[in-house]
Amino acid sequence: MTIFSSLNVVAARLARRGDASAAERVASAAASLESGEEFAGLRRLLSALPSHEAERVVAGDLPADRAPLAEMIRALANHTEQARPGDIMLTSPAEVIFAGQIAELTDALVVLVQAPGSTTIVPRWMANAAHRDQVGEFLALVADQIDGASAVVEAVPAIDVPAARFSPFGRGDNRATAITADDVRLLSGEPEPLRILIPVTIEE
Amino acid sequence: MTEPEWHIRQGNPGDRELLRSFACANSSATWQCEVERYIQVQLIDWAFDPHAAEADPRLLLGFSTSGELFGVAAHEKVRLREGNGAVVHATKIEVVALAPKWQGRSFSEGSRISDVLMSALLADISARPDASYRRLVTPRAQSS
Repeated sequence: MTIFSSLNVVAARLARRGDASAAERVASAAASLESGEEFAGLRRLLSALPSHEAERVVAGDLPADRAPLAEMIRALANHTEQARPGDIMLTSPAEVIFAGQIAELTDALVVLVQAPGSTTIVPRWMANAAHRDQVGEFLALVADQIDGASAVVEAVPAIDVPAARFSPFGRGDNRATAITADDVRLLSGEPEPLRILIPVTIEE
Repeated sequence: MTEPEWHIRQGNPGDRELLRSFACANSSATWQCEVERYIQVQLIDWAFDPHAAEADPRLLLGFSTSGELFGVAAHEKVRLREGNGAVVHATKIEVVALAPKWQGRSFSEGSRISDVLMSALLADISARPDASYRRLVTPRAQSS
């Protein structure tokens, strides 16, 4: 079994959109993750499993008695999220991701809550196919729009990843450049000239 | 007209060792130590990352007439993202730091040293042709 970082997919999508520079940067981050200790640990833990069990893990069915494996996957997910480019919006209106926690179950449906007030309903058979059909479990829906009235929706198993420690430095944390709708309103219009107290010449 | 007691120049990859020895933190302030470590270890790589050329990262170094590095500042263009996809152009001030010896002081003609460094930073940002990058963002270090 060969395991790759999902950042390779991000890089490929960026390249397809013609953003060669960003694609190269993300591919480089993917290579860095794949050569790191956590990836090596994941490969080691997966290779120690019987092949059918390893395939179930890759499909999102994480056995409760595999705590080190779960921790390794969470750590990798965290670092993957940090390396995901903050200046590039990969989700367009035609490519929507809804990720949340299962809050309620009926025989036919699963209620998925992303945040208070942001809820959707998923057929239970879809959640079941993604190995996520218990209250408290995490599930993501990836929708690709076909036309104005139709889309393909895929249910993908998700895991809870604790928020990484924030760093304001570098380009690795999307939170440094995330703003709210209120911020957008506040920042609209042409900015005022900056007030420079002391004339300064900058040498090359 | 007298010559200023400082000069500001753009950083270059050869400044790695100079920055490695730059100190700006009070060791009891964790967040200041985070800034200092970043300048010493990562700032050069940030400034000259070939994959980030589109953001036009700029590194500025302030020197006294005796050649002592008193301050470091850096900035780059960013696109701020709102959840529904709205994008706002801005400049992210990556770091601004003065060495402890120069903090809270003025040059002999009266200019505050911190004002000189900030003026250099703002002048460099203002020099960008696209005025929309005059919006400034300064994500804070956390005092964890």
